[in-house]
Amino acid sequence: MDTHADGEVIRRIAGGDRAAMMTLYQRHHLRVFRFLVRMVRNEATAEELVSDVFLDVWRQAGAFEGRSSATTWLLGVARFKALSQLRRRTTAPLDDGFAETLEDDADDPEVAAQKTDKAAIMRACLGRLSPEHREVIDLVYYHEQGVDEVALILGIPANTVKTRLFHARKRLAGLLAEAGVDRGWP
Amino acid sequence: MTSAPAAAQSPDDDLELLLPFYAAGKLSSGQTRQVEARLAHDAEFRRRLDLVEEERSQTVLLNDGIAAPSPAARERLFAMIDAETAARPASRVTSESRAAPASRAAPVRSGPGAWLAGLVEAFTPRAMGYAVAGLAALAVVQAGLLAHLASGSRQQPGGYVTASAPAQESGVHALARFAPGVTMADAGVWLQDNGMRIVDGPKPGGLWRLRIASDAAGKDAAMRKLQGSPELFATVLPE
Repeated sequence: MDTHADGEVIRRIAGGDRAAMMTLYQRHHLRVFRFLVRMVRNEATAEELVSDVFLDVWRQAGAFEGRSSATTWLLGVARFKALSQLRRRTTAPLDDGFAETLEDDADDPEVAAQKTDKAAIMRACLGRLSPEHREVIDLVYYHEQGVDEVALILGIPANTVKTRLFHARKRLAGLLAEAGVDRGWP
Repeated sequence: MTSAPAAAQSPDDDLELLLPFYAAGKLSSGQTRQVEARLAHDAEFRRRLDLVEEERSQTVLLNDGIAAPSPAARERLFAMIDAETAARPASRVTSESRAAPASRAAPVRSGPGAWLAGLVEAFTPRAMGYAVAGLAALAVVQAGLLAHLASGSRQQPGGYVTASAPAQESGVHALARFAPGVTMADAGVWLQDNGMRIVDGPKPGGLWRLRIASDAAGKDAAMRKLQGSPELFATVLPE
């Protein structure tokens, strides 16, 4: 994404430009939605939250200083919203359709191993990671955030970002090994 | 298995820790050179990069498998924004004043508009969501008021004023049909921001007559703006 272009769009939003808001939404809503779905594991909840995230942007665009990219800012807001929602939620059920795409505690590595596709096993194991490990993996591999950007989003030191990702990858390797996929690492 | 020094088994090896960021293209040029120098002579390090790439590609597939949110998310957002916009000053920011610092304080107003503004501002974001259904009904009322406006009255509903309101209907006009789902609030704000307004309608076929420019010199630019906003206008015809 063109960081400079996003900065200009956010500046216009700060001035109350509704069309600019639409532009920012079109550029980023899918990324933000997917991040939220992976965090809250419920598409309906993620849809509500994506509206809340962009409403915050509309209200607080003037506070955006451009020190980070718009993507980093949006993901940080989204994470805050998701965590607030998760703290409120106690027994909200998973969205049935989405739950089918998720690996959960009942889908142990042996079940996953029955799948013939190694890539599918990998995706199942990615779904079994803890929320902390899952989010750092997603932020780096999917959202292409750098060390400092992830540190900003998660509110942790840069070195912790690197070691957390390392441990997430080790845990993934462990789950793969349990599923019969030995990658020779770590 | 390998001919080069084993890469890290623990997070002590900083280059090992940087491999995922290298794969994502997020390292500085200096760090990239360091990683590539090691990749050039360390076969095990190259193999580990392959593992990282494998993880990355599956993570991308996993995320890409999540469908886009329904249009309801967008509609909910912009309904809330419209509600807040309705509570803002009538002389809300226009294209000429967008560089001004953000200030969304509600204006001091009186009458029903002030009551609505106060009510809207009293909502929390969550509560605002529940108010959206009510605002949809308000949009219908606005449509009626706009039709009334188009019939000749210069009174503005809900505290809105047009960017300019000349006494006569001279100028350049066009016919437009709004895209499905677009509220009068959507259209009204956009038209106001672009110096346009509704002067008549609805006509057969759901067309509205818009005053788009004060003279012929502004016609082409105005038509381009209208035609460049298909999310608001399904059809735009020169008059």
